[in-house]
Amino acid sequence: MSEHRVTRSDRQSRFGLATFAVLLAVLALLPWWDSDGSLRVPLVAILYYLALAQMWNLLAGFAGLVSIGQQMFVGIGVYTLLSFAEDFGVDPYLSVLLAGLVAAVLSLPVAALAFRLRGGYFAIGTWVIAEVFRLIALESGFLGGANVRTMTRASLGGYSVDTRNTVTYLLALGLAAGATAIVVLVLRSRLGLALRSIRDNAEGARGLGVSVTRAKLVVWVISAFWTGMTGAVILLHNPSTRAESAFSVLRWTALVVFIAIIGGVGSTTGPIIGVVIYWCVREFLEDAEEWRFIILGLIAAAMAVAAPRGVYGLLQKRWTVQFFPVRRRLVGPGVGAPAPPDEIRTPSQPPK
Amino acid sequence: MTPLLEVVNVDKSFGVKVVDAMSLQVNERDALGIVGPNGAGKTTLLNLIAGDLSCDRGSILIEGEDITRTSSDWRCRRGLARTAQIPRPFEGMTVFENVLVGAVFGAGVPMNEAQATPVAVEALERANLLAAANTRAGALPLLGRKRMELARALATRPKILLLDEIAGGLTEAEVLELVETIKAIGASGVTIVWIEHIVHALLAVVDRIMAMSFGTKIAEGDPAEVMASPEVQEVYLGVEPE
Repeated sequence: MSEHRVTRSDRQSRFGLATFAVLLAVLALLPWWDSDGSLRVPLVAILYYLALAQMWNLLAGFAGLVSIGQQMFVGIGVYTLLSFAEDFGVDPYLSVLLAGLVAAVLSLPVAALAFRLRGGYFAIGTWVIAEVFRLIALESGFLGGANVRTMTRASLGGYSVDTRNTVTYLLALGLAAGATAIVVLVLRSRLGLALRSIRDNAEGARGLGVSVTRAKLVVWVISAFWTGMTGAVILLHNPSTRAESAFSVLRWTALVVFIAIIGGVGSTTGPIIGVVIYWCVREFLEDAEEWRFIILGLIAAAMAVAAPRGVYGLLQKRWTVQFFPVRRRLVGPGVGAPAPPDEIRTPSQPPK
Repeated sequence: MTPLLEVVNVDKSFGVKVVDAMSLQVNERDALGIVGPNGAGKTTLLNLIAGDLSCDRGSILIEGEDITRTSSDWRCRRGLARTAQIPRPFEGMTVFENVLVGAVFGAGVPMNEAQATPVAVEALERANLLAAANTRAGALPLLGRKRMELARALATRPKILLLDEIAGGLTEAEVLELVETIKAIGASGVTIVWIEHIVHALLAVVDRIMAMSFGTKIAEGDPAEVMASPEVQEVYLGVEPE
C-alpha cells in the first residue's frame, strides 16, 4: 500500500503561498524604510483586526462555535498586561505572552459553562460571560475600577518611542500572520480533519471515533490564547484604557464579525479580504468611528443575505483560487482523476 | 466464553416502548441478521448499541465490559463501528478524506495521517471505492454513498460492524455486489450484525437471524427456520423467504 501518498499543493497554491510570503517580507521590512512611522502606525490596527478576525473565523467558521464574547479575551489580555507590566514590573513584551496564557487558562472554566449551550444560546452565553468579566474589571479596585488606566513610561520597559512603535508593529504583524498560519496548520492537521467532519455531519463524525467536544475545546483554547495576546498588543499600541473599552463588544467582537462575514467565513483567505475592505472604509471615514460601525454593519448584513460566503465566495464562483490548500488528494495506482480545487465551503445552514 | 457483544434487558421508549426488554448475545466471528417489519425497533436497537441513543434500562457490554454509559465516539474507538441507514457523508470532503477520518480516529492505537493513509486506502479497496477516492463525497450516487459508509466503518478497524439497511434502495445487481463485499469482510474476521429488509441478501451472509416485532424478540436461530416460523410469517405476511 506504500505506493499511495497524499498531496495537497498544486501550482496555483504554490503561487498563492509565494505571493503571501513576499507580502509578509515587505511588511516585515517596512520599519526600515518607513522611518517616520506614517505607514506603520495605522497598519497596526489593521493587523490586530486580522488576528482577531482569523481567530473568530476559526471558532465560528470551522468549529461551529459562534462566539459573541471575544471581547472577554481581549479584555483579559489588556488587564493582564497592565497588571504584570504596570503593577509587578514584568517586561511588557514578556507580559504579552503571559496575557495569552492567562486568557487560555481562563477560557477553560468559560468553556465548562458555555459548551453546555448550543447555537444561538452559545452565542448569547459567551456574551453574558464576557459581561461578567467586564463587571469584574469595573468593580475591582486592584484592576483600577472604572478609572482610565495608562501604561506609564516605566512599565513600558524604558524602551524609546521609536523602538516601541517598531516592536508593537512587528508584534501585530506576527499576530496577524501567525493567526493565519494557525488556521491553515490547524486545518491541515488531524484536528482540522476532525473539525471539517464535525462541520459536515457531527453525528457521523462521532460514529467514526471523533471526540467532538475535545476538538472544539482545543480550538477554543487556541483562539483564547491568541486573542489574549492580541488584546495585550492592542494596549501596547494605545496605552490608555478602561474596562468599557477593553471589554467592548462592539469593537472586539461585532466589528470583527463584520470583517469576517464581509470577507468570507469558513475560508482562510476571507478574513484577509475583509480586513482590506475594513481598511478602505476606515481611510474613508477617518474621524467617524460610529459611522464606520454602521457602514460595515450594513455591508455585513447585506452580504450575509446576498452572499453568505463573503467576497471570497464571490471570487471563487469566477476563479477557483485556493491560496492555502487544505484538501488532501490521494495519488497512486487505481485512484481516479483528481477533484477540482474547491476550498472548504461555508455550510449552507448556520453552524450548530 | 464471554460474548463479544451483549445486550441485557434493554428498554427504550419514545412515549411508547420501541425496544422492550431486549437481550442479545453476539460471539466473535458471528454474522447475525436482524429482521422485522417497519417500526419494529431494529434501528433503535442498533442506535442503542452504537451509542447514538441511551438506554432507559438494561445494559450493553462489549467483551464483558459495561459500555452502557459511554458515548458513540468512545464505542467506536473500542471497536464498534456502524453504517447508518441514511448515510452521513461529510459532503464537503473527498471520499478519501471521509475514510481517513475513520482511519485516524477509529479503534486501536492512535494514528497520524501518514500511518492512517494505508488503512484508508485498504478500506477503500475493500469497499470497491478506490477509483473515486478524490471525488467530493457530496457528488456520490447512492451506491457510492453506501459503499463509503462501509469504507469509513471499516477504516476504524472494528471488531463488530453494525450494518443498518445498507442494501436498501439499491438495484438487484448492486445488492449482489455489496453482498460479496460484506461476505469478504466477514471472512476477514469481523463480527457482523446486519439489519436488512432484503432477505435473500441477508441469507447469503448471516448464520443466525433474530426477528423483532413491536420492540421484542419473536424468534432467533437458524436463518431458514426463523424465516419459516409461524410468528415471522405472520408479521411478514406476504413476504416469502427464498
